[in-house]
Amino acid sequence: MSRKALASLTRPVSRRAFLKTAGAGAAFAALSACAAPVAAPAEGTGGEETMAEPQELNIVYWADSNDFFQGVIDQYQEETGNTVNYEVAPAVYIEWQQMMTTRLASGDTGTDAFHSDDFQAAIYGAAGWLSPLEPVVDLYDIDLDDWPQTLIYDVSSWDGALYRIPWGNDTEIFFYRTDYFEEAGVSPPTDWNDLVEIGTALTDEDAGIYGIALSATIGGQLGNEIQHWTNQGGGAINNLDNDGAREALAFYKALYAEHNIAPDSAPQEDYSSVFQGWLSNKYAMWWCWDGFFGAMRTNEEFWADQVSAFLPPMGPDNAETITGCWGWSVVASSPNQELANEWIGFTARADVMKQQIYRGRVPARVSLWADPEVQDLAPSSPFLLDLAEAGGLVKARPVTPSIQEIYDAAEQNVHAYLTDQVSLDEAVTAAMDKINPILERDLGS
Amino acid sequence: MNTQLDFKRGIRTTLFILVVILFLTVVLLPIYYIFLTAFAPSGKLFTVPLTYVPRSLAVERFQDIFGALPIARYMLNSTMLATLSTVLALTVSLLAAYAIARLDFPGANLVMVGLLASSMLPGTATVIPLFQMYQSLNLMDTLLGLLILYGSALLPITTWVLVSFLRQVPVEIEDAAKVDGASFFPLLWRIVLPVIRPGIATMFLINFIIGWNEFFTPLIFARGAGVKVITMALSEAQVIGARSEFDVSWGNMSAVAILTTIPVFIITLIFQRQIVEGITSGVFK
Amino acid sequence: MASTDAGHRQLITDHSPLTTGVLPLFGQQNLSTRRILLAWLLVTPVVLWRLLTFYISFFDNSPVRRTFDFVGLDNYIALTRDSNVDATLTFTLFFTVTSVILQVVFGLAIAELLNQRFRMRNLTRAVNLLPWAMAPIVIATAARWIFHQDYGLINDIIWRLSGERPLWLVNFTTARFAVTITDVWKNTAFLSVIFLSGLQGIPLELYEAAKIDGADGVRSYWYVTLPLLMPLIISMIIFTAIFRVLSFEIVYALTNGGPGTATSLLSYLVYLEGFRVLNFGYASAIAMLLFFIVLLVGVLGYGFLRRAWERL
Repeated sequence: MSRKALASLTRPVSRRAFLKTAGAGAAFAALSACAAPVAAPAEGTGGEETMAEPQELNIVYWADSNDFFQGVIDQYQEETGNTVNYEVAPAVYIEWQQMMTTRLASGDTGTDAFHSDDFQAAIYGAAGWLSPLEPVVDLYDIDLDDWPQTLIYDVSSWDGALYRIPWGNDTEIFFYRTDYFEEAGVSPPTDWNDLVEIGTALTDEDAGIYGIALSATIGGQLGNEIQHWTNQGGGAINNLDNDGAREALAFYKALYAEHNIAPDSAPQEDYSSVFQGWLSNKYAMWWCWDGFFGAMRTNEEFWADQVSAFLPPMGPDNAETITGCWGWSVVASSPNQELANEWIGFTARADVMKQQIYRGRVPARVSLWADPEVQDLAPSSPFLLDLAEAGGLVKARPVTPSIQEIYDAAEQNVHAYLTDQVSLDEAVTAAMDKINPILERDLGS
Repeated sequence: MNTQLDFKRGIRTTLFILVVILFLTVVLLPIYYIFLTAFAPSGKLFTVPLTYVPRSLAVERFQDIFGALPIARYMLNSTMLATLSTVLALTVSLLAAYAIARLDFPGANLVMVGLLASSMLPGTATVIPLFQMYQSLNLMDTLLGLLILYGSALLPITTWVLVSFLRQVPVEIEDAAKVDGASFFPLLWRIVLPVIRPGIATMFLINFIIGWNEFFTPLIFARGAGVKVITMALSEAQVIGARSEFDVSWGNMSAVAILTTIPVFIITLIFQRQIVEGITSGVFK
Repeated sequence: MASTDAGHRQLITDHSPLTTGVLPLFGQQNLSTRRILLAWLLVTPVVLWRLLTFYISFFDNSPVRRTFDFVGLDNYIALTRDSNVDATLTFTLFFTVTSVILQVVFGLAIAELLNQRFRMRNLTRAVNLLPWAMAPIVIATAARWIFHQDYGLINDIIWRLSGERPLWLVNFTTARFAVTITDVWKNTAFLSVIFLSGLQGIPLELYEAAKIDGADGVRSYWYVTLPLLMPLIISMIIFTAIFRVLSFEIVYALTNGGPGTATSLLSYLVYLEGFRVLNFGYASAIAMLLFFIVLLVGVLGYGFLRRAWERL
């Protein structure tokens, strides 16, 4: 992809679009009030039989009860006559993990379906704790071709079985402050050198403004950074012992340690603290999940006109970026398999899935991305569409049931390098000493 | 001579007051920081440099939390569980501690170490079999089930502390009562308990707070609003109005933290009167 | 003055009837048997429970790899070769020892402070308990902000005084310091309250006698207060140490074990292997390692405790 093409993929968000978002809350309230009786017909025909006897479905999801999600539940209850017991997933990942692992490992009978991430789908799926969903796909005639294929086959399936239907798409792209760029007279960078140059032009340390935000804290966020940058250099988080990956790691550290276009505190910054920095006009660019756009759009006093996005600049090897998703899985030990399947079929419907735009998220079905309403309320969808059309620019993380072990090993050692405890070579060697046996074990079994 | 003494005392008093102020500052400043975020506007939680006066006294955040979560029900559950488990643990521990402290029965040492050992494995290592057991006994999602777990978690430390307190009590006091023909329970009630009252009151307070703050147990073993406790609200409040993982609301969590701490503070204040001055009143007087 | 030392010791034993052996108290034998049974009843299930973890530690048990194979001591051998265990063991020990010492010292000092008579004492005592009365996750999350370069309370104060904004959690040493100080700040109140109530049990005559012997405040503290509190102090050291070794929520919410592995804890490895990687066998082996470390602390501590009791 040429430099020009990359630059043309940037789209400032207009004020008009923003005002529409502001009205979305009210619009949604009206919508949910009148949409219920005229619920869209199901894609499949499997839903009807269960109408006979009302049942209780237990699900776990990450949202509060006043969220758009209550509308989804109401619609489901209306259509099927069943009751949904809805549990809020803990916001802290460690807690969420402890809760779900305990339940699944114990053969829990009180949870039917839950919203899972890439790592959980692979790990829990491999453990046999999730029900394969192929029968659901057939029963409810779900057209998997409408999903980004990598989300279906690379991060929702393991060993040939599908354990999750992706619900919300998550892709990491660059966000930037249009006003800062305008002021400095620069346009979005197209390669790594460009990134440093433009970052330098945007940085004003005395004013507390930095060219780029980096969230390099351990606990998954650094792992994603490692995966992204080493991948662009020709390596990967599980393949660090090569020149491309080394160059990428050195480049990443230089952003704050040498070029000073990111704050020195980068290794302790996380999403929350970068977000606070973003709201305090501290940063000009940030590579992160597109859900950030949703958070931005609903922040009323915030610059809808000042934030836009561009696709990641070209690295030494490629211009790819990370993609992933959250989606619905069925608990294998649940006694309500059919009911849970019905929920999966229901949420996979385009009209149901689309409602995630009311919290600014892009639904996982590609056909929805061109929908004007989706483009309005989930402002990253045009960029995702561009990525999809360009082809080959998004890449899922190398998810296997061992992904967590690999992430931990890479994060700990690279973090030690980023905080000046060890040299790059030491970090890479130590990380791969941990990772190689894991990869060998996985190949063996 | 006298004025010199007064002067010395004056310096001492001033120093003492300074130490108290320093102490209160160290304890309260971080809590005040949490308080400030509870009242900060929901987007931008901080200013640089920090603003030490609340930027608003808007209660919208609290309204949102009360609107989204059954806070009153959670509080009630927490109060019930904390109180009952404390009473349960204190009763059982007192009997066990008395047996250990006074009757050097064979294996008393083993019981002490065994009790200790019971708190020696990380909860994560044993929770899965426990979950399976609870599921088969239908104790999942019940207050009784939680009560048993809360109570048993409090036992070891309560017993150990009470043993230490009982050892401090002169045996003669009991012997005298025994000579008067007092039987076990009246003796415990009338003679032993009053003597170790500061200890009992302290352990009551401490157990209550531990029970009130218990998080892992209800996280795993409670799911319905009927049995959930106030610490769950810390977690659940964070996603109120959150659009993504970026604006998980630390402000909301702070607000719930303030809400949950107020009852504990009041109870502590009340119990301070029970941890009465014992026989002594300080050394440095 | 040195000659009074012996005098004080004498004085304590004179006034401490606890040294006299424990007498069988009651005629009702069955009642005491019942209490002994009760004590055993408390302990047995717990011990049995632990055996399960011990058992699993000899297996390669991973639901992900669908294994439940007996592997003998393999998990334990793997432990000795795991560089993560090395790194975490070092910090676990550092953290436990430093934190316990600081908590005991501050706990005793605060107990003494709160035992003085002054206005607003009840309020101060209640305020003292606040950090401990707040949920760990709240304190840990707050601490992450408090140590933040821009939005942190600590840096704000330092910046106002010196114009600097140091990086706490990026530096190996200061990160360890931050973690330890957070733990001490939150948990010292717990010890101070127990010590405070322990102070209430010390007979006033002992101090008066000490005063007559010419001992000043510090001396009577050293020769009267400390020896009498010693059993309580030792018990609390044991429990505090165990809690430090076993809990990771504060550390992890604050640093995620970083920078690098500077603040990694062994108990977190158990969580990681058990809950995220699903290596149940290996997780059990680490848990047993933890268990034996803690058991050692417990048994040694209990030995000290019994000696302290006998000395009374």
